[in-house]
Amino acid sequence: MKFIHTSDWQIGRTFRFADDDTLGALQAERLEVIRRLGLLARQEGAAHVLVAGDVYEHETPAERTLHQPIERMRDFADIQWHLIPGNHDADLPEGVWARLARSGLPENVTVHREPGAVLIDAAHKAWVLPAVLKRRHILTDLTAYMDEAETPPDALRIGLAHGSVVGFGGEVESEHNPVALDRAKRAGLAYLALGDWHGFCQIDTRTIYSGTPETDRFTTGGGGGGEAVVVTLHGPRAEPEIKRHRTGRYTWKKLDDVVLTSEQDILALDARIRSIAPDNPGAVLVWAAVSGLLSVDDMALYESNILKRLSGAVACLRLTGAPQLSAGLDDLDRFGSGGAVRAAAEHLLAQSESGGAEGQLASEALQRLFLFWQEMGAQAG
Amino acid sequence: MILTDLQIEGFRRFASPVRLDGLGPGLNVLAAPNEAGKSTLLAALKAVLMVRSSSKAKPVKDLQPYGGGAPHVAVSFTWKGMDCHLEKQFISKAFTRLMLGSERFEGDQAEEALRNLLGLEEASKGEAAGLWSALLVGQGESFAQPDLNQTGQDSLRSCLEHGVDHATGGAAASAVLSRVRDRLHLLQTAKSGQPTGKYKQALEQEAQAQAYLQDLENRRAALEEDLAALDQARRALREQEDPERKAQDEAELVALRQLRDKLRVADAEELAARAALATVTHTRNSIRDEQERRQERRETQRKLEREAAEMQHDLQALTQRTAQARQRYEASRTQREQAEQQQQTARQALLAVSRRATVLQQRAALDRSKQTLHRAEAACTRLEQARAALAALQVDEALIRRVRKAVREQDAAQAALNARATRLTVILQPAAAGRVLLDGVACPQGETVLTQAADVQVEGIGQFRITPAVKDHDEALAAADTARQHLQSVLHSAGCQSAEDAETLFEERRQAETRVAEARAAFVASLPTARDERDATLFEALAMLRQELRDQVAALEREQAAFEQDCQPELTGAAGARAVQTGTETVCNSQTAGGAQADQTEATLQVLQQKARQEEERAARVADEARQTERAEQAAYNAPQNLQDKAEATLRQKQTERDQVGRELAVSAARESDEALAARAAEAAQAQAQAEAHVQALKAGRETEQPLSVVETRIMRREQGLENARTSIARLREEIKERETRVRVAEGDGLDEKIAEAGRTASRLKLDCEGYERERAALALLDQTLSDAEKTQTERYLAPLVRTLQPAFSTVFPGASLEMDTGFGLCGLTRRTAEEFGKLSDGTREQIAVLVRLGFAELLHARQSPAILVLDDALSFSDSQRLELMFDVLADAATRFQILVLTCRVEAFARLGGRSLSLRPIPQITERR
Repeated sequence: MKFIHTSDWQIGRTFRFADDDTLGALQAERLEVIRRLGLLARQEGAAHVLVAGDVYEHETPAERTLHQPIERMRDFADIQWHLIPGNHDADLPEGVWARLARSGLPENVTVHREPGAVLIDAAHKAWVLPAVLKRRHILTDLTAYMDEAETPPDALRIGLAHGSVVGFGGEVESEHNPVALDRAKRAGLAYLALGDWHGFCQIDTRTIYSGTPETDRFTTGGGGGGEAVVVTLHGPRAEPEIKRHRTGRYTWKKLDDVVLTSEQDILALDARIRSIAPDNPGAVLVWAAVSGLLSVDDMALYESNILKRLSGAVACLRLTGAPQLSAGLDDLDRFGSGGAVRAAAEHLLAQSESGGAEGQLASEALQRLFLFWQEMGAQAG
Repeated sequence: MILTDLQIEGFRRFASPVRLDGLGPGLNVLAAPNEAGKSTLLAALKAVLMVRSSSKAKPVKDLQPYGGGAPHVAVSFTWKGMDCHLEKQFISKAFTRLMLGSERFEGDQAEEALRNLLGLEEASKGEAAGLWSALLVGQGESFAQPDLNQTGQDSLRSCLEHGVDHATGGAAASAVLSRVRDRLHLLQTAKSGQPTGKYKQALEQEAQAQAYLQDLENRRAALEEDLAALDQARRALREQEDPERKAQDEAELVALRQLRDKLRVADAEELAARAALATVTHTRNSIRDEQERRQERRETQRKLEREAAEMQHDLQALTQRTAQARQRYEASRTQREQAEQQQQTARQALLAVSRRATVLQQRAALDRSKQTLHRAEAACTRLEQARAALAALQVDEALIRRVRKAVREQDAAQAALNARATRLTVILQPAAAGRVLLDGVACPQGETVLTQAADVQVEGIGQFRITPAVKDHDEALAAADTARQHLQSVLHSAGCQSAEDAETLFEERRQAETRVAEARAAFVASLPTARDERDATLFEALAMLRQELRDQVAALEREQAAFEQDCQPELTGAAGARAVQTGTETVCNSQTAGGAQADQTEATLQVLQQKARQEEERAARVADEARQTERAEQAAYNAPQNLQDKAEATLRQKQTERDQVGRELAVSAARESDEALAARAAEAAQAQAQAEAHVQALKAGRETEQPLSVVETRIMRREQGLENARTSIARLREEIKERETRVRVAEGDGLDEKIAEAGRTASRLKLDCEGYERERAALALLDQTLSDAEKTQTERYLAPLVRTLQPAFSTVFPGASLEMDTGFGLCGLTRRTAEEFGKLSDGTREQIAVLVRLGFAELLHARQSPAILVLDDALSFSDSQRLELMFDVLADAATRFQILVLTCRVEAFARLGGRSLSLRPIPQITERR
C-alpha cells in the first residue's frame, strides 16, 4: 500500500510583503502544486493522496477559490484524494465543507467529516481514521477515539489528523488541537499522517508532518516546506517506508543580521543571494534584515547594486532596516570649503550624529543632499 | 562713468537730431514739461547701452519716429578717466561703434567690448541687462523695487562677495535648493505644505483601502453574527419543537380549564344571591324614601299656609297706604293745573302790553320818518331853485375861455401891428397945442404909433403926410381886424358888451354853481338811504322814502286795528288787565294827543309792562312749585303701589305652591295609604336580612377555593405560552431561512480572502505612505536647512549693502533700520515696529525704491565699477519735506557718481540744484570716426 502524504495547502493565502505580480505568481503556484502531487502519485504508483488538513486558508473562501483545488483533483480521476478539515478550514455548520457538500464533490475526492474508521483500499485492507475539527480550536485530542476505533484484524490503520503533537514542539499553538505524542502506538496505527506544521517533521517512525507542498513562509520550521511524503506500508506492524519528495517551486530565504560596512559586504550580500538558486534566481524570495554604516560612495553602490539590480533579479527582495550613511567632515569637502550648501551639510551632519528619529531624518536629508550634489556635478561635468 | 554728451536722432518724437546740453559730473537735472522727450531720452540711453544695434525686436521698432526712420544715438562718457564714445544706429543701416580711449571697435566686436565693459549679459533677444536696468529708472518704474535678474543679482553678489571671507556659493545653494524644492513639491504643495501628487494619491488610496477593509470586516462580523445566530436559532427551534414538552403543557391546560368551569358556576350562584340582596335593599330604600318624602311635603304645606296668611295681612295695610297716596297725588295735580292756567293768563297780559308798546314804538318811528321826508323835500326844492338860477347864467367855463382866447389873439395882433408901426414923437411947445393936428385931431404930445398913413397938419405950416414904410403892413392890419371881429362875435354870442362883462357874468355863474352844490349836498344829507349821489338815485331815494312812509302808516293802521280787535274782549278782571286797558286807550288816542301826552303814555306803559312781567314770573314760580309737588306726590304714590303689586304676586305664588303640595299629597295618599306603606317597609326589612344571610353563607363556602381570576390568568398565560411557541417556531424557521440565505450569499464572496487581500493592500499602501512621508520629511528638512544656510550666508554678505544703504535711509527715515532679502529687495522697514514693504504708502515705497537703487549705485561705485543713476519722473508722490530730504541724499550721492534727474516738475525740482540740462536741436549728430 502506497500513498502520498501532504498537508497545509492553504489555498487562497495572501502575502502582505509581496507586490501584486509576485502575489499572483505565488498563489498560482499553490494551485499548480496539486497537479505536481497528482503527477507524483501517478509516478510513484500511489492510488491515494492523504491531505492532513488546511486545504484552504480561509473559512469562507470565494467561490472560485473554493472550487479551484477540487477541480485540480478532479483532473486526476485515477487518484483518490482524502481530505480532512484543519484549523483554517474547520468543519463548521456553514463552513467550506458544508458548501462543497451542497455543491457536490467529484467521486475521487472524499472529505472526511466524521470521526471513525473508513475503508479506503479493500485490497490492502487499508482503513483511514480521520480526526475531524468541528471548530478552529479544540482543547481535546481528536485522535483519542482512534485507540478504540474498531477495524478488522490485520487492517492497515492509517491515522489522519491536523493539530500539534503535545510535548514535542513547545509552541503556543500546541495548546490547541492537541495530538498525543504516542497516538500511533496507542491506537495501533501503521502511520499517522499529520498536518499543521509547514515544514517536514518526523515525530517518530510512524508519526510524520509532511509540511506544505509549496513553501509559504520565510520562517518555516523543520524541513522548510516545499515537499510531500511518499509512504509505503508493508504491513500493519511493519515500519513504514518514508520518502520525501520535493514539490515546491519557490525558494524562500531569510537572511538575519546582514551588517554592511564596506563595499565588500555589499558585494558579498549580492553574491550570497544570487547563489541561492544560481540557475533560477527568479524563483527566490529573500528577506534580509539589513543594518550597518556606509560611506557616501558605498551608499551609492548599495543603492545601485542591491536596491535596483538585485531587486530585479529575484522574485522578491524584502528588506527590513537599511544601512546608515556614515559621512565625515572629509565627505563634506565635496561641497567646497565654504558656502551655504556646505553650511547646510554641516548642520545636517551634526543633527544626524545626535541620533534618534531626528538624527535619522537628518541623515536621510544629508544623503539626499549628497545625491543632489552628485547629480548637479554630473550635469555640470 | 560720467556721461559727457548725448545726441539722438530718429527717436520717437525726435525725428531731427537733438543734443542734451550741459552734461557733466555730479547732479544733472533736466527739468522740462510733459512730452518734452525726457522718457525718449532715457529710452535712447537704455538702447545704446543695452540693446544690440542689430536687434529687430519690437521694443526697438517702437523707438522709431512716427514717420519712420533709423534711430541713431551717440553718447560720450569718461570711464575711469578715459574718454569713450559710443554710437549706434538701429533698424536700417544698423551699426555700432565704440571708442575706448585709443581703442576702436566696430559691429559685434564693439557690442562685446561694451558688454564686457558694463558687465552686461544677454537677457533677451538682443537685449542685455543686469544691474543697469536697475540704475536707468524709467517713468513709473520707480514705484517698485528693482526686479533684478540673475545677472543683476550676480553683479551685486560679485560686488558683495568681494568683501566676504568665504565664497558664499549662493548660486550653488540656489540651484540645489531649487532641485530640492522641485522634488519636494512633487510630494507637498509649495504654499500650504499639504500632501500632493503621488503622496496625496497614496494617502487617499490608503484611506480608501482602510475604509474598504473596515467595510469587509464589518461584513465579516455580520456574517459571524449570522452564523452564531443561526446556530442559536436552530437550537431554539429544536427545543421548541420538543413533542414531550408540548403534550405536558396541553394536559396542564385542560386541567386548568376544568377548574375554571367549576369556579365559574359557584361564582354565578354568589352573583345571583348578591343580586337578590341588592333588589331587596333597593325596595326597602325606596319605601323609606317615599315615607320621608310624604313627611317633608306635609311640613312644606303647613309652612306655606302660614306664610300666605302673613302676607295677606301685610297686603291689606299696604293697600290702604296706596289709596291715601293716590288722593294726595290727585290733589297736587289739580293745583298744578290751576297754577298753569294762571301763568298762561299772566303771559297773555304781558304779551298784550308788549304789543302795545310795539305799536307805540312804531308810531314814534313813523314820526321820525315823516320828519326826514319833510327835510328831504325841502332840500329838493332848494336844489331846484339853485339849478334854475344857474341855468340863467350863460357864461360858463368854456365860453369864458373862448373870450379870453379871443382877447389874447386880438392883443397879439395889435401888438404885432404896433411893432411894425412908425413911431411919431411929438413934443409941442405949450403954445403950439391945438395948432398941430394929426389926422384932423389935435396931435397928442409924446409918442404916437402910426400904423397907417397919417396926416399931420400944422397950423400955419401945412400938412405932412406920414406913410409908414411897412412891408406886411396890410396883412398885420387885416389880422388885427380879424381878431377884433372874432372877439366881438364871441362876446356877442355870450350876450356881453365887453370882455369885462363876460368876466363878471362868469364870476356870477361860479357862485351859482357853488350854491347848487351846497343845495345838492343838503339834499344828499337828507337822504340817508341813497346808495350814491347821482341825481336819479337821489330822486329815486326820495320817492322810496315817500313810499316807505306810506307803507309804515298802512302797517301801523293794520297793527292797531288788529290789536284793538284782539285785546278788547280779553281786558277783564285782573290788575294786569286794567293796566292793559289803560295802555290800549293811551295808544289808541295818541294819534290825536300832543307830545307830552305821548310821553306820559309811554311811562305808564313801561310801568304796566313791569307789573305784567312780575305777575307772569310769580305765576310761573307758582306753577313750577305745583309741578314739583305733583312729581313728589306721584313718586310717593308709585312706591307703595309697586310694593302692593309685588306682595300680591308673591301671595299668589305661595298659594299656588301650597295647592300643588296639597295635590301631590292627595295623589300619594290615593295611590297607597300611609299605613299600607309602613307595612310594606317592615316586609322589606325582613327580606333584606334573609338575603344578606344567604350571601354570607355562600361567601364562607368559597373561601378555601382559588380565585377564578388567578386561574383564568394562568390559563391565559399557558395559552399564550403555547401560542408564543407556535409563533416562535414560525419565526425561528423564518429566521433560520433568512440567515441561511444571507450566509450563502456572504460565503460566496470569500470575505476572508478579501479581507486578507484588502489588508495586504492597505499595509502596502501604508508602507508607501510612510516611504513618501520619510522622503517628504527628509526633503523638507533639507529645504529648511538649505534655506536657513542660504539666508545666513546672504545676511552675511548683504551686510555691506545694508551698510551702504543705511546712511541715505537714516536721512530720509530717521531711526529706521532696514532688512533685505536674498533677491536684494527690501522686505521690511523697522521704525518703531517692523513694517512690510508692501503695506507702506505709495510715496514711502517710491522713496525706498529710489534709495535702494541709489544704494546699488553706491555699491558699484565703491567697487570701482561703473555707476550712474538716471531717474525719470521719480518721487512724484513725495511731500515737500521728504522731497527735501531726498534732494539732500541725491545731492550727496552726486558728489561720488553722476546722477541724471529727468523731471516735469520744474518748480519743485528747482531746489535740487545741480547742472541744468537742456535739449537743443543740432544740424546733425557729430560723428567721430
